[in-house]
Amino acid sequence: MKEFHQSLQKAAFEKGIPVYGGFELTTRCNLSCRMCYVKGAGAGKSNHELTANQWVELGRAARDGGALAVFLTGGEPLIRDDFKEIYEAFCRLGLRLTLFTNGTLINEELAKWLSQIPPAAVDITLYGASETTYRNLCGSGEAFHKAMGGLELLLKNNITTRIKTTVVRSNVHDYQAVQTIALSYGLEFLPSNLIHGNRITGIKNINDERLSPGEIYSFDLANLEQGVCSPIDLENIKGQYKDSPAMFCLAGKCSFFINWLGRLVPCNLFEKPYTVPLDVGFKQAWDLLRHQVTQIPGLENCKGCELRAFCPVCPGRLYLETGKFDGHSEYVCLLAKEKERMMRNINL
Amino acid sequence: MKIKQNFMLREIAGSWLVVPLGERVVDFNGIITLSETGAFLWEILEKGAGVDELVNQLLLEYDVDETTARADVVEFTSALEEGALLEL
Repeated sequence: MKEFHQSLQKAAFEKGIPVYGGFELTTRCNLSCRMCYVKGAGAGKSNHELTANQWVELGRAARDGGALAVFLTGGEPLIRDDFKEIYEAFCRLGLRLTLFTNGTLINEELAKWLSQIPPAAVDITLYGASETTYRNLCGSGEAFHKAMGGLELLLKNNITTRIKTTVVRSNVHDYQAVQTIALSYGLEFLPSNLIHGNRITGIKNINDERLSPGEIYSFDLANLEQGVCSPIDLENIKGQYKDSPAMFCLAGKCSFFINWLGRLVPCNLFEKPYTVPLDVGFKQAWDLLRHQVTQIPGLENCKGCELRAFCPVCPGRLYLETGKFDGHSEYVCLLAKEKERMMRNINL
Repeated sequence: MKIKQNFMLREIAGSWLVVPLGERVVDFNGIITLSETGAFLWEILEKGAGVDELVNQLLLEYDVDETTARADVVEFTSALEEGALLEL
């Protein structure tokens, strides 16, 4: 099946078919995490959210355009009163659905309903392993118990579930404990410690919370050391990537994101460029977006940089860091340097 | 023989695949990949057909001899049966 997904991705990339997508049903959330990249995007504008019918229309049009594997996200998608209406329609479109949630709004009734028409997977993000951590990071200690309760209800109802975590300064001490929770239930564990800026306020509110580049990769190294890692031909990798295009990911080529306003963007990092599928139809909106992605300025500062192979730079990330698609971000450069250092350590 | 309800056959980027819908995900949480011939047979089986009809349809659509067509149909429908995808 892995081979099938690889060949599908290759064909979709070459043909420009949007097989992967995300639907941001809302920016509202019952938590208030300090590093949230969405927080504030819909402040005072929740009446601008799309209706359930509009989301279903978008889902159907994306499916007709070739979408296969999509996720429903927020904010917290379960906060919508009409979530069930949207979800029930989506799960009959012929899509592979993943639901992203913080788990805190999952109760007996919701879990039972979901078990009758389950998604391919539910990804629950755990922000820590204690009330204290949740209180400090998410603004609610009680949310820890609710998230764990939600997780247990999903498992009791045989719903495929994965555990995500976002590692920041306020919860880094809980990392092992969160991993232990995932392992104790035999669940796939998907940690992330690379935090990007908020879509509205950039990095000014997250600088205190995100780990330094050195911390991020010492953290990764510690985890890698628990496994087996083959030596890596660093010089060869450097040569391969130093002239990579500005955007060499799938975004805007075979993957898309529709934000809470119904705007089609390359991925969740982008506020622009965007097109509006509800106005012009999904196909035209997708074709326009694909073209607009090619117009995003190249990364002049990064031209010929040998660290590109280790660098998470992309125009979307740079925009959130600097306000420009091609700005210079010391943080991103340091990430590349630290990653190279980590790779060298693996080779030792 | 007929394909059970709540599956959708799709062609995406040149690949044929079948996706379970709604409650079908409870007993089949995955994707089925099909060859072009498999997709052709699947479409007929969505309406319901026996082995002989499937063989005849293959002979009409493809340049294939009856022995090969019958063997392919039997192999295909056996795989569907094994996966509990058919109403017999």
